[in-house]
Amino acid sequence: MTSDVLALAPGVDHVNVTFGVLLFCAAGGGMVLAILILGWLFRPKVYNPDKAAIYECGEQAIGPGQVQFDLRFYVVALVFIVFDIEIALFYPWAVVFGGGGFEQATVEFMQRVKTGALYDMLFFFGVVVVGFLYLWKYGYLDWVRALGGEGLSAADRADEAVRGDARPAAGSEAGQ
Amino acid sequence: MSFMVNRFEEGLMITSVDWALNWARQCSLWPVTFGLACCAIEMMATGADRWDIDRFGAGAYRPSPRQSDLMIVAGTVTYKMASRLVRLFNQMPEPKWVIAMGACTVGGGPYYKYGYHVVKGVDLILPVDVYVPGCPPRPESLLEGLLRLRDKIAHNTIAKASPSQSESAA
Amino acid sequence: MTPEQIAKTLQDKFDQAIVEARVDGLHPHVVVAADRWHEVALFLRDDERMKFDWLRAISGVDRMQDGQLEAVFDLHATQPSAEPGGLWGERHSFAVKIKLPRDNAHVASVADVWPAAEWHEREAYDLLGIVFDGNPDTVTDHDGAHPRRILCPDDWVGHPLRKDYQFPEEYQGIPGWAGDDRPLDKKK
Repeated sequence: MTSDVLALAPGVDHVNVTFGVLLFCAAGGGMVLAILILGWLFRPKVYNPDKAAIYECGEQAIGPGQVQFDLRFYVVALVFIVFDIEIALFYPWAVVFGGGGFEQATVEFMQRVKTGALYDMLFFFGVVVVGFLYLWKYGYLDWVRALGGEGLSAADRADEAVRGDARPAAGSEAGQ
Repeated sequence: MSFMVNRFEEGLMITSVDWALNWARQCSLWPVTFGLACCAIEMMATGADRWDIDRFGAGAYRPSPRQSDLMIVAGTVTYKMASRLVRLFNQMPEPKWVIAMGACTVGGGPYYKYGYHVVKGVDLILPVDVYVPGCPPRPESLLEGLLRLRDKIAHNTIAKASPSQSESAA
Repeated sequence: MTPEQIAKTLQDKFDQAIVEARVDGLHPHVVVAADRWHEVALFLRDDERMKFDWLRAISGVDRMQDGQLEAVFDLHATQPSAEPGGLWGERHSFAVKIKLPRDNAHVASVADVWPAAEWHEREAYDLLGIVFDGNPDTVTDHDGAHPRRILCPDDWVGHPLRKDYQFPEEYQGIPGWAGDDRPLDKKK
């Protein structure tokens, strides 16, 4: 193998391929630029202060447009990543445990591989399960958490959360 | 306005560009959902399958005025709603058009005399392009109004484009 | 209880407050004095024989020839009241009317007795001008303290369903019907 770049079909020239790929990229970028430039040339530009205002179905907007992101979504995403990676790492182990890649091996060899693999995986799984138990016990899996995590049951905490922001402000001044 | 507009006289290039722009604009009029009263039911029927408005490209009703270029005012406009209507119209980007659907938006409709809270015609607060009379107009009438609007757009030219369409009163 | 019994019970308990009792006809009602309405309302809701726990509607009436506004409270008892010797109690309905002077129509709010009254009182104020003092949704402006308008915009002038209402010539720059047959001026 004299060439140290990727092997192509016989008869295909490297220079042609490179030129073709570059031409493809240029054409794609050029199409995008053409559309943007034609739009800039021909579209109407009319300024109106309402266009920069926050959209609130026609009402005067109260408060800013960006609200604080709920942190519980972050916790959910983090927990998901950890366990998703764990499952992803299970797959190659499962393939080897099932005998894939070891077709020529003897049965006794496979027995020893399987026992060892099982204990390895139990150790890994055990570490992750301990983490899971911590999450569960300390309430990171509950959507509604009481401050301090003591006293109320989950149902009471849910009731409190709902009642806390259900009652609207009474006697409010008429808005604009 | 923008660079090319109002800069050249009508000629071969301009008419081709006009044809392309007008074709694109008239065949993809996306309305903002503005059904206020009974005419909204007929507008929904026009969007449904028997009188499909989507075959004219206008079936993609947008919930936000910022993504639409047509406002079909379908229903009675009250004084309380008028300020919201104008604000939403101002939030639509140019080019934009307005279809006044139904007798209430054309001239106050059955509430012309003793409707103390009804705006007697939406053209008191918005620039209207096409009026579709009826109480409520049948879906075929609304489609006829849409086709008349398409014809109106087909006569636009960038050689003599009018300045902003967003003259609204209140 | 029949309407006659209800009217008699009310008259026995609040003799001066019940101005009039009309129990025959399609709409049996009593007329209550405006300054005693709140305690009569509490009695109607809490008394064991009556138990009118559902305020169906508050309607306003403009009696221009008498110079009075009238507030009509339609009440209904959803639980059968105690009826001696009866297998099932009846669910009964009754009405209460309050007559108010047209230029100073104030009456106590019953939104703490029946929660539905809050919006009905706002509507009665908005369209007729009957002021309910003590409504939970009260605002104060150049007209004094009154329930917040519910149908018309907050800066609307006048009460539209009064019989002597003048239609607005314009509102926030938008012209309206002037009350005659002149064509509308459509120039902005």
